[in-house]
Amino acid sequence: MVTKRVSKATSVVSVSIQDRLAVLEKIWHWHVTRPGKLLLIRPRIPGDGYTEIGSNNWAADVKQKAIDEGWTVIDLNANNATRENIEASITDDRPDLIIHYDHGSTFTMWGQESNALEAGLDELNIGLATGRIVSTVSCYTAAGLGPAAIGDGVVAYLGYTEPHAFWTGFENDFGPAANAANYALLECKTVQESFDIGWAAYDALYVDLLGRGGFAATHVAPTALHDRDCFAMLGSSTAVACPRSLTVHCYAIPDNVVPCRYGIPRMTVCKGLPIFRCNAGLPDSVISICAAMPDLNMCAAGPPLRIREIIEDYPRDLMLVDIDKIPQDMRKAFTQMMERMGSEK
Amino acid sequence: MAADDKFSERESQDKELLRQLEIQTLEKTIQDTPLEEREKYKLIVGNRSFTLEQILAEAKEGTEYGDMFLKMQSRSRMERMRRK
Repeated sequence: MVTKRVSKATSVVSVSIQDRLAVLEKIWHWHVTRPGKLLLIRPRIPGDGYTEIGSNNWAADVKQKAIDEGWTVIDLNANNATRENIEASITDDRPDLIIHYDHGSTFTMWGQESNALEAGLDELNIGLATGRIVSTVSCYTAAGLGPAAIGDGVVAYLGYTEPHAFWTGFENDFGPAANAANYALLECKTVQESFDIGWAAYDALYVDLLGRGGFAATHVAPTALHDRDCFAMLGSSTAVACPRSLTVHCYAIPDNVVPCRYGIPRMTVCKGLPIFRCNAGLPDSVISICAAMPDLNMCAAGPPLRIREIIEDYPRDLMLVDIDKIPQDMRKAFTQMMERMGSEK
Repeated sequence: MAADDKFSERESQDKELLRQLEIQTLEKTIQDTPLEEREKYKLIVGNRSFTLEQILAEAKEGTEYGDMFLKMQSRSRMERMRRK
């Protein structure tokens, strides 16, 4: 890649690491998140239309989406969705995101044991989900359990305030609409963005069903509108399900984790230098680096290099930055940092 | 009759009037829907499933699900008007 712009100073400069860290920490919140761990709760009760025709299959699509996005999935399917397993999974596996597909009551997300419904998460144990985002496709829970969850420290809650419904013969239309918000959460979008995407998906379904005319327009479309209107978001609108732990990103491919301890906005560093390499073995990739970090756990070309050494030994390379590659909202801060680095002696 | 009583009585009448209108609308749309479709498609909500005839029966009875479906129908009608 051709570097489009070079900062003012091209000589080696001695800059306080603390000063650099101070600047970088101010723009820390732009750090890109990575997929984490998903707990998926999806009963399937024999003879029950909602779970057998709809929700369990929709959840299977969510599971695949999560895998495709790089999430680790704990799948409590059918009779594995016992209250005991749900509680143990949250406590022991510590998922970053909890997604539930099943029946719901005002204060209960239902699970399953021995082919029968069993209360999975309710007001007595929802506090286990403290610090996480919870998303459920089920009836009613956003009216009662949702607010209780937020009060108990759940960061954000997506659910429905009234019964969630669909029509047989149209389950493949309702499924994607029901899944849209959860897909967005798995793509590390904010809760607000995910809710908006989910709402829009139902709205689009409504319009589509109207357009088909006949039975779809007359009888099915009202149900899509109903689902849209009882879809609710509670808690933090800016929360993101993906954990903020820190990685080196390869631009051209999904994340290969070279864990760093801190995170900063992406910078183009060490192009062409055999210091870092993506796990997929892409040479000369434009590799972004968590530059504020003391240590990297892994380097392709030998023992781990301390970020400090990189900053001190390769400042010229830090200067060779492709400004156009930096996200727009980080550019100003990054440019200021580079100018400051160049002006210090 | 006190003003409050008049208001409450009229309010109840108006609500029942709307409910009956919605039930009539539902009856007509069911009449206009081919039998094979009426038997083929079911509304799944909670742990229940309903054909159109069953929905109509629930609506006439004034059950929770019946009222819910009438409300869905009414809101969709309003939404279609809004989008015109």
